[in-house]
Amino acid sequence: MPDQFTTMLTDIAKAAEEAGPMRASSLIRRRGDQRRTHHRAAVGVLTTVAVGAIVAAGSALGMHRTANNLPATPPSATAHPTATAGPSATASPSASLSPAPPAPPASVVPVMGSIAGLPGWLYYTDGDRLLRLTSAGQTTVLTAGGYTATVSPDGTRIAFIDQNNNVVVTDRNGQNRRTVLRGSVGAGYEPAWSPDSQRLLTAKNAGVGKVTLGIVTVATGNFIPLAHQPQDVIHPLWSADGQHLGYATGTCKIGTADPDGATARTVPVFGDPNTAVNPQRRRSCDLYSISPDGTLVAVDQHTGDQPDGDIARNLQANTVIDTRTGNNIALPVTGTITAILFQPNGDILVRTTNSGTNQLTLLNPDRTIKAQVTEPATVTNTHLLAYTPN
Amino acid sequence: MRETANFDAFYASTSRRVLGQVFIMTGSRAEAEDAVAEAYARAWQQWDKVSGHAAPEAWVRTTAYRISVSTWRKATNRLLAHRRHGQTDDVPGLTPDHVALVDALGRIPVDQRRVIVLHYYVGMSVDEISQETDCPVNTVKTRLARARKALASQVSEFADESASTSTLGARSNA
Repeated sequence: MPDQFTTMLTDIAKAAEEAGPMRASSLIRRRGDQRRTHHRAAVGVLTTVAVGAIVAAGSALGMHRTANNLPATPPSATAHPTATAGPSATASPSASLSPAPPAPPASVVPVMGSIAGLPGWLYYTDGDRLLRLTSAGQTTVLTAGGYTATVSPDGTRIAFIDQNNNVVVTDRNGQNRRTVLRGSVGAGYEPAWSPDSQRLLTAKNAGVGKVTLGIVTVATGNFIPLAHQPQDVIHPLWSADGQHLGYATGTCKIGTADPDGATARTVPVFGDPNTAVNPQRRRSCDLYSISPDGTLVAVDQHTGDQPDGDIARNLQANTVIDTRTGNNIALPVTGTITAILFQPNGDILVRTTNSGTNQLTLLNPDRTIKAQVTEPATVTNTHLLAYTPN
Repeated sequence: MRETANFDAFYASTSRRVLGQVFIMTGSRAEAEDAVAEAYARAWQQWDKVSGHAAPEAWVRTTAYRISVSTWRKATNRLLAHRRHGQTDDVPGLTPDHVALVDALGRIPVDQRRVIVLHYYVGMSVDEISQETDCPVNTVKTRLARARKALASQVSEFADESASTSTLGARSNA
């Protein structure tokens, strides 16, 4: 028996055990997992142990109350680990919902836009819930799964990954749920809608550490793997012209491919680890949106020593990248850009923040300003998920 | 709150050990932390069931392992590898030999790494590993043999050893 080997393994494990307390922050940054309620429970537990407090302290401080409620509706006070501001209307489901009129019946198609001056509907997520902004407040479309949710281009359907890693499609109001694919992947592979809103680019779990990208037809549930499987893909998107796929890679490059997965290539310069080529170390593991013709992508660009984040999509974008050159494309807005949504017609919706107030600017395809509105404070601390014309 | 105290005690008494085990399986303390934390969170969420499990620690270890090698973990590992240039710099207590071994472990397939850790570090028999990993005994033996072969250049004991797995089943629990 190789005792020396066992001794070395023991030493290695001990070194890891003693390297320091387990970081609660490692849970907090795991923002994208649908099972966020679990994380809140674990944060309480881990904090208790990590800081060396006596075990009973966690219970005494009420840290486990959250956990004890699981998996029931999460308490509002701790519902937003990523929120940076203090208590707000959005932090409390009751506070945000009580002033609003009842949600429209499932069969009623909304006939008004979310904000005066901006046609179309805005969808947000607070991590668990998927919200639709209405002129009177907000409607909770999904109570869970918001972080993986995507809205079809025609605005009539929602897709998301449920807690069992199944792809579920609902109507625009989160009703009429139907599982269209079982055995998908819970994070990193959010369903991407086809231009005709009838199919989804998604991933099927293909065993430990493997996925098969493919297209599932919503009406039939028929899954057809892509003829070519691009490697190292996360957060795949489908361009509105149907001719391009965009994705991030595990090393924070951006890739593009044909809709069948062929001709996969990575964007030049951007994400290149060679600082002679990419001196600012521009990169992104978070692809947020792709232009209709696939030539531009919106990403959350990181530079220098900024941490890269994790596999979960962070649902924000600060930069437009030209996929042919890797160059940054400037946008005519002021403030800090937090989201950039390309629209099927070529318009670009840009979310900016300035001194705690968010602004939404709709740009024409030539990037001139079409409309500009101030976002209601009720959604300030949520992530912009989608903008649909109807 | 008896249930809470019960879970706290379980966490306090096992989490560090499981962290060490999962660290060897992943080669990254940060990754191991995430996987272990998630595993305990899941254990808590179904604590009624897990606490009644024959081996709750094995349940958590298995869950943490699966999390660590799931697809998104794999991608995350790539991110971390990119950030850290392959160094295990999150565990300062490691000697160069340790780092070399961790790196060598990182180069063998995860299923082989798992059985190596369960057998040589956790001290489980092939039969026990077969149960925990839900794999046939022969598969476990094959993975062990392949892992030893792959690590032979790093671990002199494996270089000296024949590829036979006949002695593996006799190892007692540590």
